[in-house]
Amino acid sequence: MVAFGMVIDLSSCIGCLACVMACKAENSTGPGVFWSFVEDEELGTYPSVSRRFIPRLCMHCQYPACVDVCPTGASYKREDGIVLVDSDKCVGCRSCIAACPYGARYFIKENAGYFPEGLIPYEIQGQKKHRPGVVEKCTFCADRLRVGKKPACVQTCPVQARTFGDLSDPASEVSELIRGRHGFQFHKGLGCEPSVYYLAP
Amino acid sequence: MPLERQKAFDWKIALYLFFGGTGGGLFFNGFILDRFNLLVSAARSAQFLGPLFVGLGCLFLLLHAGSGFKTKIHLLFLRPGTSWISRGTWIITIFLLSSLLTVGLERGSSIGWVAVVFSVLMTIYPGILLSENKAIPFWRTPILPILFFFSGLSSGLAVLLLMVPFLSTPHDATLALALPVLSWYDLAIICMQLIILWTYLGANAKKEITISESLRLMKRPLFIVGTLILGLFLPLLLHLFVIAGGEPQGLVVITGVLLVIGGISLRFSVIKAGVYLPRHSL
Repeated sequence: MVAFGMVIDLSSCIGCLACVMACKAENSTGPGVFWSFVEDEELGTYPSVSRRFIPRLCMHCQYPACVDVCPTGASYKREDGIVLVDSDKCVGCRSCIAACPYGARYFIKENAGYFPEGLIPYEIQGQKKHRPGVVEKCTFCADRLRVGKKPACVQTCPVQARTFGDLSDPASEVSELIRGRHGFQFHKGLGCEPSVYYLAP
Repeated sequence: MPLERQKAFDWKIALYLFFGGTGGGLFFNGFILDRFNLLVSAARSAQFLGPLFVGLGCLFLLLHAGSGFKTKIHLLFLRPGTSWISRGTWIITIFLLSSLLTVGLERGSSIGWVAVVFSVLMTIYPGILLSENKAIPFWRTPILPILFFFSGLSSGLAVLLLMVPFLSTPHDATLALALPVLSWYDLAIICMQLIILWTYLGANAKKEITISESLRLMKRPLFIVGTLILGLFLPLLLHLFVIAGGEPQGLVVITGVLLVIGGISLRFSVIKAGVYLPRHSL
């Protein structure tokens, strides 16, 4: 059975935020909601200073804490490894947000727009995908995967810092990257076993 | 990298935790006093008010949740195997049903013992709800449910004490006996809370930066004044005064008010002190 995962090369990421915008464009997320986002850190002290960019998203963990705490089964893990939220079942208790070590989830209070003049046609259309009063997160662009496309963030990255594929296939590009370049996971000690690996800068 | 305070649980959840724990404590204390025929009017009222407090707590949960919560409440029962919110839904439901039956049926019915077990679970459950979050180290400790258990008993007793002047007559023969006994009882609970807080905050003192930040957030006026001074030390002094022979009846209301302030401010302080692990540490 396929187990979708992602590898992010921190040595390649230039912090252009194209992945953030691609995700927003693809998924029509509202203000303050970033299913894909990039952290920007400054390291060292003057004059030896550098910047590090760390793209983050839902880790689609093997043992997701969010699924365990969900009282209604709204948060669930598919057989292919993707963790999703069924908005028909979500009651908005936000226990999954408290439980997630990766800050990947957002509670949608209302469908707000970016512009003070009101919702533009793109937003009106896009908000049909979102329901107020529930929790949302990255879906690994499940709709795109269904038609054979890659997630929007992976497709868009100008430096190919993101690689997407089947972690259960030892010959896949993601598996080879993890093996060859010692891919690591954040918060491995928590036991969530993320499906997103990082390659050291 | 700046640390991130949790925002998933706010004042509505703090009040849900308070009313839930206090409701359980209120019923428990009322049930025990009733069994010993002490302050019977207040004790029976406490057994009736306990589920009402829990129900009020649930209203705050309803306020916190999304707009579809009301139509999906039945779904909350489905996952007691892994979700403490689901288990809590069962605990709350069984407590509400059994406690209201206890009040409605003949005094001494065996359903009361079911209700009292679940009233204890009501005091512990709010602490477990927080402690299951592995992403927030300050909450992830078995000490929290124990602390909330004793706090629930204390704030439940506080509400009961507030009712005594209104529900007991000067001729109530049990009044003179009950109040000093309750002073000893609450004194023990307060001491337990102080020991647990000392352990909880002291044991965390040298740990990693997330917990240090949580400790910094805890040590604010809300906790120092609200929980420690008003909620624990002043009631402790008042109880010592009663035990030393002081007249208890005049201090009942003020002690009750102080304990309630302490219970509320403890939960608010713990909620506000929740800080996530750094999102991308190894």
